[in-house]
Amino acid sequence: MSDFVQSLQQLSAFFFASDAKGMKTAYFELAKLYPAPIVDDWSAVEFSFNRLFVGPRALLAPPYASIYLDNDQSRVMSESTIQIRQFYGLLGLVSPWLNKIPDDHIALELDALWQIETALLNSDSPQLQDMRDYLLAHLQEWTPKFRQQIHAIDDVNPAILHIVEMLNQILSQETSTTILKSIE
Amino acid sequence: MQEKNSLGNTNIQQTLGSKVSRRDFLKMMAAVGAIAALPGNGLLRKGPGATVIPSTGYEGKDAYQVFHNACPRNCYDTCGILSYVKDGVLKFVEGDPASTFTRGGLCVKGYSYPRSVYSPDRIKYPMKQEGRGSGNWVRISWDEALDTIAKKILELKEQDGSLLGLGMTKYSGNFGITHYGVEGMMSSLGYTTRFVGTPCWPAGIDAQNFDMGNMWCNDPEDMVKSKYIIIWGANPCTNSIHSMKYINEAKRHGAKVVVIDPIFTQTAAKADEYWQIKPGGDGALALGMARHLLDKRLEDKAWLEENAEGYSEFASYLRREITLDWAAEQSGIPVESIKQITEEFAAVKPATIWLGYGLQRHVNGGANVRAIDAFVAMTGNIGKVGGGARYGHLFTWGFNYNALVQSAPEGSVGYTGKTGPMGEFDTGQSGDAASYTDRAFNINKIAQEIMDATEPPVRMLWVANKNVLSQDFDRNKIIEAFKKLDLIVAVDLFFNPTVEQADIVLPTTTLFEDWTVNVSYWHYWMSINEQAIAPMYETKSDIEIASALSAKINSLKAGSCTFPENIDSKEMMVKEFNDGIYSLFGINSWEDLKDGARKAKLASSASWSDNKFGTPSTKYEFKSSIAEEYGHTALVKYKEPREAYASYRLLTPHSKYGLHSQFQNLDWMLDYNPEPLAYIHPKLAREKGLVDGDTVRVYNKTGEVQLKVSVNDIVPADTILMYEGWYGQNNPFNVNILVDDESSDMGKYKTGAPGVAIHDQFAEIEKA
Repeated sequence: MSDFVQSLQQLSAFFFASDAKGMKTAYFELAKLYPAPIVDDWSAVEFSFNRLFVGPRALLAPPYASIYLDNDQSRVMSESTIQIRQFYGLLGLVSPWLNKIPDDHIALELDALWQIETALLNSDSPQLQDMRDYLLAHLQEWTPKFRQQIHAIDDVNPAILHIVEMLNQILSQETSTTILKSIE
Repeated sequence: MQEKNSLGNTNIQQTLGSKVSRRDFLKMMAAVGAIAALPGNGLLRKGPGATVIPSTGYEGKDAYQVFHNACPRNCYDTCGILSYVKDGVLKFVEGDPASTFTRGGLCVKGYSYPRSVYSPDRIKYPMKQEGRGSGNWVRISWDEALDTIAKKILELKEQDGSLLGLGMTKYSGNFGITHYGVEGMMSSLGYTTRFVGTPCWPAGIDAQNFDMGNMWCNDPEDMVKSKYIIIWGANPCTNSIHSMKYINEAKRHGAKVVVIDPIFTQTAAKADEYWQIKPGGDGALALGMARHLLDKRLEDKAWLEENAEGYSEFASYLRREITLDWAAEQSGIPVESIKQITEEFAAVKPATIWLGYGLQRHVNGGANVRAIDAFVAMTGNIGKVGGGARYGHLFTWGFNYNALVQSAPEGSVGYTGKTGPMGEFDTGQSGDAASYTDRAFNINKIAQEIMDATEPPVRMLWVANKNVLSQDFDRNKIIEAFKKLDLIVAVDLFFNPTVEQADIVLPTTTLFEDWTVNVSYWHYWMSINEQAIAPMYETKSDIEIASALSAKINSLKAGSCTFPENIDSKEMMVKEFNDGIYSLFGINSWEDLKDGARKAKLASSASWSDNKFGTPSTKYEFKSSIAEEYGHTALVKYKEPREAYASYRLLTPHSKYGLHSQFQNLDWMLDYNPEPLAYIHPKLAREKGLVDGDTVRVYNKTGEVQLKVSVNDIVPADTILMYEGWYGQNNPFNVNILVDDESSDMGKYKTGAPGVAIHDQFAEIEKA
């Protein structure tokens, strides 16, 4: 399994972490693939993470695609969320948090991409490749805005900034690779 | 905005905001079921079932599941709602056409509901704050949250020998009947400290009870039959928009509409005549009008003779102590106007007065309501279709309060002092005739009560359906008082100033994620509130929380809580119905409400139509022995207003864009009403050298707020007007920083505590 595929899984795990321990585990796993800054206070990471993505305060950077795609910063579960749900459905996948967590939560989208990439290791299905390209293009469309929003916030914990950078790099590298392949 | 897209036929690019086109999506249909789910972080293998192409807009009503809901906010209108759900997602809402009152339309707040359900800012998980007010929050499981809470409750019991150290404050965040399960949860734990009363309308409730033996208004729909309507201290154009159609219809039939209000409201703008009254001068004005009835012999002698008690004494009082000149002086309304309107009102029947809640939020508020009631009674308009002194009612609220009525665990120790009613909806039912009771503290003096409480002190506070730090009085004092508390638990939808001060926050469901039933304190409709969608995130209803806490605390120590450990809101809701409700509404089962809202079968649209009053004398009482028992004058009499404690009157009424601290934080409201404003008269602006848009400091003995001014002659020259509301976490504005906890005169009799003199406040204003 490539570093790219493995990193998708760890990024997804990081964004889905419910506590400092989960964040730390994913961070360490990812650090095995790509060097990462040392973190000495995981509570601080958790507080920062919750301010950005969880609450209870109004989220500084909601981790849902539709917020960035639908030009509507104040509503989740919108049309593009349902489109992502249908996309999972085409793959034969469904979120266990259907109608509880928006289907376009970044962790779920990264998980879907990981599942497709993993399946592609043993398949050369052109449809599956189409779906990979689709999801990658979709992620590439909103995650830079997501990153930008996080960068505009003061005092974001460096560990989270690192993860967001990794997300950005990994997705753009893979996108360039895909484009190169299609040119060839 | 997205909402527009879902109704229009916009193209996919725009709707999805995505470069990925619909054609690309269709192409992928070929890959259906392409992979087997791997043990990843989330997604599972999907079960059988067709995968459909997502919709891109409104698809006609047949494409949606439709549910019946009810707006549960503290509002006259309590609308029946139809909710349109597709793919398990609430798409849009509209008014229930089955209710002639709602008549298919909602207000701006109601239409915004999908945006509160799906606001990314909703509280999603139970969370714990590491250091109160620090903003350092960690996610905890429900199990951990309940474990912490249950252990604290057991510790209090151990420490104090009772649970009086556990306080609960709750009010009108959600008036659904099952939400009384919060009180029920407390009762099922033992005898606790309750913050009782109501900040809203208690002085008027007591006043009408003294006069007539109950608070019971005519059906608002019968205002179409009124020939003369005085709207006194209410602003239905913004706060009861569904009532306006009846008023407008009456006007079309030739009725005259007069508005009496210190502020030139939107309702005033639609009236035939507007009187700008001095705040708190309402009683004087009503007594002056009553005196003029006497002078002109316009009183309805036959009705009074038959149905009134103490009238001749009241008439002597008017002749002896009330003059029109004095009334004009006190109220600011010229003598000639008083005479004219009094004569016009008395000349036609039916004529009615709608008494708003604003006019009783004064130190003489209850006395003012009694004076207005007396004027209506003298004209013989009580008990008449299209007439009446309309204030509110609880006629349709005869549920079982099954969620509320829970008995304390065996051996519970409580308060041995005397307790009064526990709020305006107290039906007088109680679990058992125990010698112990809860400890009742005044809901309107939460800060002082917590500061003063001993034996035991209040150590833990449960807050539900209430945003204490936005809505309770003297906000700065509350912050101080909260320092005495070991544990604050807030159950809420959004991160408001109360949650900010909590140690644990529990995420709760919106009305669309829960079952309940709703009735109004104004109209006579009942609406079921069906669960339309699954609860988002890890939210739970008040009933589910009570049930889960019961299971948790009993697992730690058996016999600690009697609340059913396995009950959901729907089951609880079904238990709220009884034959009385069924027969009042002419239904056979609660399930009949699934066809739409239902209206109570009223013998007459008029309250007191048989002239049999609920007073000791069974007559309309101008002189009430019960009023005297509660420390008021037995006779309807003038009561002095509060003396000014600063240079300008401060009024902080309801806004059109919010209901107390709800709605105004949503983007739709912020689009139209982005920030609070202090409205001042051009004369005051000149005196202070202020122009539109200047930032000012408004301050008094309790605190200070800063905001922009709007120079406008809708307000009197000696008054500062700012609408209440919570503008979201980035705006610290709160009118209750400037409102002290001075009591209104009445409220103790029927609600357990007096109200608050919200509109008897004063402040200074300076350029910031």
